[in-house]
Amino acid sequence: MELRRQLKEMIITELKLVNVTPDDISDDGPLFGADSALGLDSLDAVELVVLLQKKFGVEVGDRNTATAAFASINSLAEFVSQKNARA
Amino acid sequence: MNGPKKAPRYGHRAGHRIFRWVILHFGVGPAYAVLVPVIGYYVLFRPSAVRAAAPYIRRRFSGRGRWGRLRLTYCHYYQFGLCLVDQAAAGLLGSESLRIEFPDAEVLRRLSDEGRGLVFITSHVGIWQRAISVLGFMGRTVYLHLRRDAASESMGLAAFGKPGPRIVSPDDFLGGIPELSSALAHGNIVAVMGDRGFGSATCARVGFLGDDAPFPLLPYHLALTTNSDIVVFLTSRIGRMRIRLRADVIRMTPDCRVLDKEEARMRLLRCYAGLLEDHLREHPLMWFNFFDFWAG
Repeated sequence: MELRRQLKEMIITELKLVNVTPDDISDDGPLFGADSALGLDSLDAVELVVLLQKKFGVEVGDRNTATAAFASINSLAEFVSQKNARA
Repeated sequence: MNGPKKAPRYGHRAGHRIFRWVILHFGVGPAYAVLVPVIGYYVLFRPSAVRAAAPYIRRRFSGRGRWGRLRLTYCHYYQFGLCLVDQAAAGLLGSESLRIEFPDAEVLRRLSDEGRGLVFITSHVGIWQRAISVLGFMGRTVYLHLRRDAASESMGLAAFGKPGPRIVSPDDFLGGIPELSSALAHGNIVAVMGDRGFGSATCARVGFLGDDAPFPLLPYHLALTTNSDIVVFLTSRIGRMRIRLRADVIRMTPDCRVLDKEEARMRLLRCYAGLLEDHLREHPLMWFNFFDFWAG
């Protein structure tokens, strides 16, 4: 399955988003913040960090990495791809 | 539900410099004496100070009349002043000048040896800033969730020893939470405030001193998601330059993982609120949230 779709399905299932399908999540829209259509908050960020480690084996160690990776689905997919490519 | 508002700040730079000068030249005793008229001024001539303490005083000491509550307000601010003087003295005279009683140290040492992440929940009680510096003995990296200006102003960061703590600011992206989560996943220690959220922190209301009050959910969510144990870390000033630390451990047992996460969070939060209430039963003038904690 394409990585972006995998990430979307993970977010929907694990963060228990109701009435949301992968097609509803924009690839370049913000994941967090007031402008996000998903309504994710900081507690969801805790989950996402742990999920990325468990399911993709990647770590979000510092604030600069987090800021870049969590900007959108596109940036998250790029982050996961780059980390796995180096591994 | 968002976190409570910021507490008001009292005093000004000149006043702080006077206290530092007195401590350096005459010691803490005379500094305590200077507090007497200073606190009197605030209680008698600054109605905002009395209003700020009133929500707690009214609940903790219910049934007292107006003059009784005013006297208690004075005592409350005086205790706060004593803690500030001792904290300043520890910074000026050296951290070894502050005697710390820590009967639970061995329990924490054994817990630390297990190598799992630990969420230390701190509170605005006693000389909490200096108390956190004790965590340096655990030999693991401590991540402090607080604003960088507060950290540099009031924390005895040098008392941690090497390598010092890492400050993760709630003003960082997503409140610094990605960094905190990652720290716990690597078996480090994260210290988070339990009795005051930052900015738009997600909170929940539980009973506290007779009424529902908002507490931040972050510590419990961090612990549950990363399978880290919780340590409720409370302090009290027990005399001149003496503090006692209390650490109550809440283990992440299999029962926690069976529960719905929201239910598990609330149980942990109620546990914390109960421990804090117990602590304040024993040290009623040692909690320093000078605003209406129950609003929000």
